[in-house]
Amino acid sequence: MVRRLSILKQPIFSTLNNHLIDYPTPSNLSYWWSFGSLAGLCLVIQIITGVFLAMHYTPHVDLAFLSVEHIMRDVKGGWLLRYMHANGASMFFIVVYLHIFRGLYYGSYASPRELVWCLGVVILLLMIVTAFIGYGKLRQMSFWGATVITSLASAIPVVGDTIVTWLWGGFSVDNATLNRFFSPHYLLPFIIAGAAILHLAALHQYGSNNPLGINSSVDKIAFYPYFYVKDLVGWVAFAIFFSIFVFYAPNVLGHPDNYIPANPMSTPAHIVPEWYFLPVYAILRSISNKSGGVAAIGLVFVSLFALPFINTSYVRSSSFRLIHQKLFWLLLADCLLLGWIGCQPVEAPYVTIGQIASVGFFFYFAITPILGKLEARLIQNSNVCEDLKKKRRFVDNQSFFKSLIATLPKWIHQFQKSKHENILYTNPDYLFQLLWFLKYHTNTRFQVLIDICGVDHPSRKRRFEVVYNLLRATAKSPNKVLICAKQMRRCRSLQRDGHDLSNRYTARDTQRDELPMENIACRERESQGIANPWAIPNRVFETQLNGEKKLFIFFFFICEREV
Amino acid sequence: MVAVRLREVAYTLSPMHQNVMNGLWKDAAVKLRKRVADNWTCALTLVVPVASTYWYAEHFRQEEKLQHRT
Repeated sequence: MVRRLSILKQPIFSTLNNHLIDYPTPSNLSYWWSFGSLAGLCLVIQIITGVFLAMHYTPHVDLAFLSVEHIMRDVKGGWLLRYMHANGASMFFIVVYLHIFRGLYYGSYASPRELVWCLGVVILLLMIVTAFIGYGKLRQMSFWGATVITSLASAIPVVGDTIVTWLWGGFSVDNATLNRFFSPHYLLPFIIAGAAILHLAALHQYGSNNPLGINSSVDKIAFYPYFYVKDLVGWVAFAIFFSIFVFYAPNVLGHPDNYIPANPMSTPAHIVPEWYFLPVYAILRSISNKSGGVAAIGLVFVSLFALPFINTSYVRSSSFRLIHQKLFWLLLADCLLLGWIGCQPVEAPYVTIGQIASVGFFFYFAITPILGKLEARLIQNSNVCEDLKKKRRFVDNQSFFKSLIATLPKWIHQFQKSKHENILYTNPDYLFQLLWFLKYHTNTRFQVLIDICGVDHPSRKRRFEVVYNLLRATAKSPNKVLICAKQMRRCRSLQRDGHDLSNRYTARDTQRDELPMENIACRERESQGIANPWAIPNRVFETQLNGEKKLFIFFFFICEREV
Repeated sequence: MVAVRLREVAYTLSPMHQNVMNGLWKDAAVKLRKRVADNWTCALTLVVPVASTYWYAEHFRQEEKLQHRT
């Protein structure tokens, strides 16, 4: 045990320690969970580069364009600051969109993390507003883009035109608009930082979700050093990706018309916003009525806010929701199509495609309330046991395990039932997921993993078996998970939390192929004079049963009594 | 804050006896094949609508350009 510095027990440092260092994190988080910290990194990059750019930028209609050119050409490192800030915004949106889609796939929005999701949508809204007002107003495409989008406010009944005039500070996008947009563009990132802290606080209330989507309280590890290192890998990969754009293709994500000073007398043929606004822009344009388009944009964010509350599925992760999994990929395809349509002219066939894609986008949210119930009903109806249709519990164990195999075909490829045992056959790739599933499923739960036994049958083709013996909670639960393999790698001894064999294991049947575990454990302890029942010997036994030679390798566990 | 019991997993291998990232490229072909086998339906669900819609739009535009010939 590492001795902790006493400084970590002081008030502020103890809070930082509890939330950033010793914070319990699910041990099975994948790299999809790195996008949160990456988003924080992007925010920091934007703030730092933005502050330094603001030292040289002049928010005046006659000087703004030239000041940007001054930054690019005359200020030392100005080109780097400008390209990092411009491409950093794109990176920020890429990271946040991936973060959002990860949340959609693994059900991170579901209870009890509704507040985390809603705060995330607030952050997305703030980001959109910040990016829009920071896009600059004195370049050709940004000037006309700002004119189009700010004009949308006129769709508001009664006060619409007044609001537009107030936004512009005049009768068109001009010097007043530039100043009143630049000021909140400086302020809002700090509001975003505050919202991000609230987002983290809400997350830390219940802890992170995980790829399996189940409660991970029993298997958490400290955030430092494991996820610091994992996030660092993500940061390095991000830095490489970011650098490719900054140093090799700094203008590929922008529009070439932005190198032309704004000309109110010349309207571009196709006005398009930055790429990260294109899906929403496509939804806006899919409705010919201006008010309808604005309402559709509002509905996008209302749908995002409402998602945790309209979800009816008891299962979070799409890994176990086959219909939702396919709908998720269709939603992603739909968003990509909307983004493509957003940069196309408003003519056939793009108009029709955009309208269909917009309907498809809202269809995902519309079907969410009934999808959970539909999936639950389909799983129930897939069982052969008729009693389930009368809402009785499983009485036929065989049919239950058949349905289990049907539900998890990748994880379980065989089921074997003997007098006192239910044995599931799996392969090593899915062992952890299967054990996790069995631990928490109502009908298959087990109390604890008792021991792991390796068996070598030298005469068989698939000679090695690894048997995971489980202390089952119900008579119907499986009590063995078996892996058969042609070859095994060497194992290293590990210390593990475990369970006392001799006190709890309830093996009774002595006619089985394997030796009774209990007898061996007691004999070993007696022969070694081990009084301590928590001893951890790793022993190898060679024996012969039913004419077949077998080699047993036992791994025992330490047991620590929980207080 | 959820109260949990953290486990400490202690590895006591000498640096001379452990390999770093030795599993990354091992059986890469097998891993790739398994990943493709597990995810090909999802990949198709993503790619087919996008590709087919793009193809349809391009085909429509081409037909439009050739409309004067009919």
